[in-house]
Amino acid sequence: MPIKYYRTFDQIENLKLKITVEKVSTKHTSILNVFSDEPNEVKLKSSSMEVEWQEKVFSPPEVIKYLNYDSSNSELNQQYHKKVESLGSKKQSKAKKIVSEIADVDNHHKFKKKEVPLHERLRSSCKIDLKKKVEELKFQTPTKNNYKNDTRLDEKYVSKYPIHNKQPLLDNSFIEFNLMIYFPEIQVGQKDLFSEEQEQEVRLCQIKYYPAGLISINPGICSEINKLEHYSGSYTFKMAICSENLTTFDEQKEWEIYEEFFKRYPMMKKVFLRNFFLRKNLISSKIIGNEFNYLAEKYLKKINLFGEIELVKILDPEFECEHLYVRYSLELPEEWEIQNEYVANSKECKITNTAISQRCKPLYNELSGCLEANFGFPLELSLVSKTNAVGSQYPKIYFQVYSVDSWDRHVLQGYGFLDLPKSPSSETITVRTWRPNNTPAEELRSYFVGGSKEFNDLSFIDIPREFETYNFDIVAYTNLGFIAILALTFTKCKNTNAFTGIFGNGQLRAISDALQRARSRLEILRSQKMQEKEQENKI
Amino acid sequence: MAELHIVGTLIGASQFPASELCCEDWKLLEGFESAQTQVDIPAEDSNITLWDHPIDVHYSTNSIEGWPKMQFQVYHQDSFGRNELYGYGVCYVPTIPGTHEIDCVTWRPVGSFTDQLWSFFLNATPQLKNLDIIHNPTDRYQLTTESMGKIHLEITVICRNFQNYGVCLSTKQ
Repeated sequence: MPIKYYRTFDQIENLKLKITVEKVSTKHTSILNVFSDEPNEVKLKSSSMEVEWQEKVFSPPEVIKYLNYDSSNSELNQQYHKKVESLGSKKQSKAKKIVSEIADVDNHHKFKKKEVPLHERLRSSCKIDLKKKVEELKFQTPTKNNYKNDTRLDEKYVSKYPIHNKQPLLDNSFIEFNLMIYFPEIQVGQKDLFSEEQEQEVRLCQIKYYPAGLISINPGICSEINKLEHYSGSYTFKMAICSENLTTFDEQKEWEIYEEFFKRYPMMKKVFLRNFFLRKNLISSKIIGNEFNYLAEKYLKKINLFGEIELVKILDPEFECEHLYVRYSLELPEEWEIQNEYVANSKECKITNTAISQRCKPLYNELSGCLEANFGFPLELSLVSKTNAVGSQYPKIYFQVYSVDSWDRHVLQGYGFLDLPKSPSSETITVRTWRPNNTPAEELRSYFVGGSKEFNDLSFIDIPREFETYNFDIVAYTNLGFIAILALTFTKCKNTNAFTGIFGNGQLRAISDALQRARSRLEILRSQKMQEKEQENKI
Repeated sequence: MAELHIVGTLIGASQFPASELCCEDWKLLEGFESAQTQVDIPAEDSNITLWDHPIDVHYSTNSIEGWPKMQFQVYHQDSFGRNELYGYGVCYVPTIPGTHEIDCVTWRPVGSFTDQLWSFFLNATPQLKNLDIIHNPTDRYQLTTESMGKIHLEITVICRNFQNYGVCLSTKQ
């Protein structure tokens, strides 16, 4: 019988074969049989057996072989040893039966694959010479003329034979399973004739299982009787598939599973999406974190000011001085404080009330036509307030610009002030400065000795604190054209912990966080209860 | 925690006495990002050097204090291949989300008379031993400097989640 191919949706483990073997005639009669009175017909036995997929049945020599336990044997051999021992104890040795099966170690566990080089396979299947084809393609590149005349270029450049010609029997690996017949009739005296032990075993059938449910059986299963020739005689054997059919009960069960899957599918999708977003939030919170340094509860407002005093311009290009420097000082209203938390943590940045910049030599700038002294002097403030009232005073910064001449004499050149911006912004601010006018005598004194008039109270730069006690008519001011330019960025913080900020965004986030926590706790409790119930039911 | 993206370019510099410049080792104090630009030799009669160096950083913070700032060191390379310090500079990254054009002024330390003589003939200007002084205002008054040119930057700031913690970064919130 030729090879037959089958397809199955079921698992290959469910395959069961029934084999019946009959002895038709004997070629050799043993010497013992000649002298015995029993007729030959009695010897013509028929026997049948059911074999499952990859079931190991031991023949008598194998039983003897595996009974001798050897620790150096492979794992499979040790397994066989245990099986044989158990068979002996049960006294139901299958080895006595005629039909036996041998599954060698190699056949059992390793996938076999026919290795045919790809190009050979292609040649044999497509029967074209690839080399020639490639050369043809090279020379037949389309030219402009060709393009116009020939409308159907596909036939020239596209091969008729598809390269991806898949052959499931050649390309795929398979699992092999051999059915062997064992002839116990050959007796000790006749062993000289069939000295090789293997000839006692002849292959009846070979089954190969490929992926995607393809099975090849050689010879194929049919109603006809197969013949088998052996030294001891000629045999016939029949094969039939005897694996259990699908019952209506099983079929119903499978349909139920199928239907339930599609019922649950939308729910599963929902759960998956919810888990996905939860996981995403978890991961992002792990990487980025959820902490934030909130304001302390007693403060209601916070201002952060980052910036630098960039440069000081002198509008008069012929002004004589060696160096310039700037000094700033901060004035805080009553409710305001400098926040010192950050200072404690890092040594790098210090928030100070006053600071003096370095001395810088001014240079003439052609673009603006005036002298410029670049300071690049950083100014970092973080201030907190206890009030949130609208009309409350804001902090101010006072600037003083000094010049140093070659004799190292310091002369005040200007005062300026800056009201801190009230809304977040990022801009460059110009501060114009002025200084009190000198009388001629003072001018002469500062020329020879150095020094100049200065305010005792810096608040005079803005609105003086003791406004009414001073007589303003006496003091005159001159503008020397010293302009300080600042680049400032400014942020504001609200206190989200305070009661005023209940409807702020920060509070909303806190509420949602708390809700999530509560939900997770509930889920844990629920699962615990479920487990307890299950345990009770079991008991 | 809130997140901050800083994306932008270091465009170039202008108003330096000589214009073959390279900018080295600009640093973000809150991160570990630093880079060096190429040496740019501008065309004749132009006072502007172009670097067009990309900036792209991402931070996550748990407080506003210590907002990132950028620190620059500008070097001049002469025809003999000697590198001479041409300026230090610092500038804060703006807190307002959006695109900003920033000019960062630079200065360099001036030493004693002998130092100046040395630097005139050998192109070896004095350098800061401790670079913290560039961004630290407290000990600056001991230093005498000379003003140099400007560095031009274009920076886009993207902020995330700051408003959730009650921080106002723009006037709209």
